[in-house]
Amino acid sequence: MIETQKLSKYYGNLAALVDLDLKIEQGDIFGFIGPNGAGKTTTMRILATLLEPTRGRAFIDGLDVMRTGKEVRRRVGYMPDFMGVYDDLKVFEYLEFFAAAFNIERKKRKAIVEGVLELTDLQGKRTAAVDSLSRGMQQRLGLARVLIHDPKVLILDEPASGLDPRARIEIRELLRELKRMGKTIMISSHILSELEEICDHVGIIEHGKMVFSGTMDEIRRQMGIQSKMRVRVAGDRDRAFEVLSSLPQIKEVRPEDGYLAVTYAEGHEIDGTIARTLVQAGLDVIALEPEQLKLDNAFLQLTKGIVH
Amino acid sequence: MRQKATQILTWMNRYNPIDLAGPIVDKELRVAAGRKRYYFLRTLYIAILTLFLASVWFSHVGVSPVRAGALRAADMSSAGRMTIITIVSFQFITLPILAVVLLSNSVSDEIRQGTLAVLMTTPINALQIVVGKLFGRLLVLVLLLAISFPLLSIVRVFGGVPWTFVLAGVFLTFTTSMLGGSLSLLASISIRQAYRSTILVILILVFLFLAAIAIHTWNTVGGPPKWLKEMTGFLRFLNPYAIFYGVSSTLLPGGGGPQIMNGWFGHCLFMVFLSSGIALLATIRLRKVMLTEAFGGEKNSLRRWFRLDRKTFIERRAIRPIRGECVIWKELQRIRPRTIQPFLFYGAMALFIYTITILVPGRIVLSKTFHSWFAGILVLTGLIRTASLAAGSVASEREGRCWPLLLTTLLDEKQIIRGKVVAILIDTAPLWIWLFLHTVLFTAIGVLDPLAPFGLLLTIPPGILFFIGLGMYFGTRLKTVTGAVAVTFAAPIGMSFLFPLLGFANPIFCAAWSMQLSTEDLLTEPFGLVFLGSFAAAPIIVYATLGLVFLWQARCRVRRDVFGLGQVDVIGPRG
Repeated sequence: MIETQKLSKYYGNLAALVDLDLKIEQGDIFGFIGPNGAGKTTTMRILATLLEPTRGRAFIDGLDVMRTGKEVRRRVGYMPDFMGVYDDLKVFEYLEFFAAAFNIERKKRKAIVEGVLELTDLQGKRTAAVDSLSRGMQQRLGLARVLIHDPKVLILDEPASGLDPRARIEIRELLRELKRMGKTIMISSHILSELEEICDHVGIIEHGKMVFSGTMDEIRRQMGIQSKMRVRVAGDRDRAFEVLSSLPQIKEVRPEDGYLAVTYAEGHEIDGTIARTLVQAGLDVIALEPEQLKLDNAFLQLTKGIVH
Repeated sequence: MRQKATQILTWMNRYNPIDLAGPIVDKELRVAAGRKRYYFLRTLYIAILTLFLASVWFSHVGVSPVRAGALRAADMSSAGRMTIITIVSFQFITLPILAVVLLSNSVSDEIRQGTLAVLMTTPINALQIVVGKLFGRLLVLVLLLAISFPLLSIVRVFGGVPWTFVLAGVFLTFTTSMLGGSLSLLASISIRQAYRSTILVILILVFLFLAAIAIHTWNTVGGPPKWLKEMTGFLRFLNPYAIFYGVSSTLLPGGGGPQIMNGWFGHCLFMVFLSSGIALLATIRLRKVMLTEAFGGEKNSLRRWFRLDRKTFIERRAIRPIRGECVIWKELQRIRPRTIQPFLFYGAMALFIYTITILVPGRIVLSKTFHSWFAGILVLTGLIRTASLAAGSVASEREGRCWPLLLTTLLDEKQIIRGKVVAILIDTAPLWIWLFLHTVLFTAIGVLDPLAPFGLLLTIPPGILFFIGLGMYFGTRLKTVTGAVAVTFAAPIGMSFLFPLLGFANPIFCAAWSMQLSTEDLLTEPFGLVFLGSFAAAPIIVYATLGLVFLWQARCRVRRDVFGLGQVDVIGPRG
């Protein structure tokens, strides 16, 4: 649904994007992650037809973004990182204006606006002045706006930034709902752990270059990142430390808050082995908690040493 | 004794004028004075002053050294006097306007950036902010004023100009700048857009200027009754432009005009008191705004009741359905949220003008001069409104970061520009209709020539087109509304300097001249029709062509540099 080929953008001598290759399948939620200035926003602006790349190509639904701007805009809903609002309008008027701007017939506009207000839970605010809304409400209004013309692709640039935890959870739920509706969503965020829960694929970008693209499992496999298990035993913890340290699959054992933190190589089914070994050694296992690799950790590891 | 001295020093330190203003003056001098636009304004000021001086000098002395010694000395004397009058007059006209521009964003910027609430958490009080802002920025003007001192001192000797005149000119300039600056500061507390407060205060100054002319004309031509004449003397004392006219006219060839050299000092003192009063009012108002910003207090209940508060008004009004083109609808919501607003404004203006007309004796309404002034003022008002709306129409969306949202819709460049142009025309239509109906009415009763309405029809539309094109173009080029509006106003002035003929045939003058047209004169005078032809052709061809070119350029720039990063981004015309 979204594809870029050797996409590059230079601002003078500054390379914002360098030969970016990206592919997002229909119905996927793609998390776009990177530090500030990595090139996320630039990529999204190019896909939203607001910037021209220096070289390379970008396609949305098979359409060339540079050559068929209007057709692309019909298929894309773009929400910028910082969204301005027309402060002389009410919420309903604001959405109706964008409905009209997307050439939606006058007869259908009211029903469509009511529909997106319901979806984004903004019915109670339909007569409120747009600039009187809280930041969270304005983000929802932004989402309502991008949905007004029922686009196939949603490009959301940090939609959860500056929101309180409740509003973030609500936005996340809304994105899940949109995925169920079959939308392809490209989303960038600095709240990486949130993307982890909703994204099918992630792309990690740094200095305009994609340093990784794939699923969470693929991140682990590609990076050969070690996984962790937290073990708690009743009784002699030193004995447990010795037993676990003797296992060949285990790389490191160290005490951590009353637990033993066990680091092992990715790809091994270690939990059964640990439990069995400890029981055979006469130790009672109270807890055995696998600690999954977090996206934050992957981000730190993947970008470590590259940031200047 | 030592204790007494320490007490005095402590007291002096506490009430030290610099300390009274606190660190704001320091901040203004360090930060604000270093801004790009300050450098630009200073450079522009010096450039124009030099241009004026050069033209005055060469027109009096010339470049040819063949004249006899005595004549040469007379030339020098005349040039010296005219140079001083030029410098002092130039400063008197420009510096108050500069003061208005420099202080127009003094508080509104702090409110927009959210730093006003931060200032509340410091020991700095509202008075210190007002005094600091006012004097911090007026110091920039004092430097500009000081630039001319050495020149004035030297040239004064050639022309035999009394020191009193130079002093009066400098003091009048400073106190008028102080008045303009304090008014601008007061306006910037309530008006968020700097260009709006600038226009408002400049209109007040223009009103004072016109009042000075009206008082002088009234006294010279007809002459009011005795009791009114005494009142006009008092009004003249309050009006800086009238005082300056009185002071400078004593030096002009012929030395006409009222001899009121002695009144200037009293007037300056009055202006200092008036400015201090306005600054005090600004302090009270600023304190209220600071409290609202910091604690989100309730807005003035009277304003809410009358729905004068914009947010309250929007929330209480009914939902307005979109009819016709959505861009036109949206623009009209922006430029006149209250539909009745322009009618109230023009109604008040009409009431004022016609009341003055009736009150003034001598059947002034039957003179073509009155109608010339009337047309000139209305066209000036209409074009100021047109230019500021055009400049703000795109720039406000860019400034408010709504522009990318609009560009990701299915609206193309043509629809966006056309919608904005039509909305501006709808907004200003009542003014043009009023002017046209006024002209037709007075043509019908025989005061004006039948050519007058045609003159207006020929000269005003190109002017509107020119200012719309110019405003739109700079709106697409500049990042802020204030910048776009300022350049839109400055460009025609600069153009008039470069091409004086174009400046001479500007739509305001042409509209005023239209009222003076006479078919009989045109037919009997040699080259009358040729004059009329060129008179009509110049504005139509030049202004309309320039307007169309700028409008086309604006359209081409709609999708360029969408985010104000300075790069060229074009996706769309091909899409």
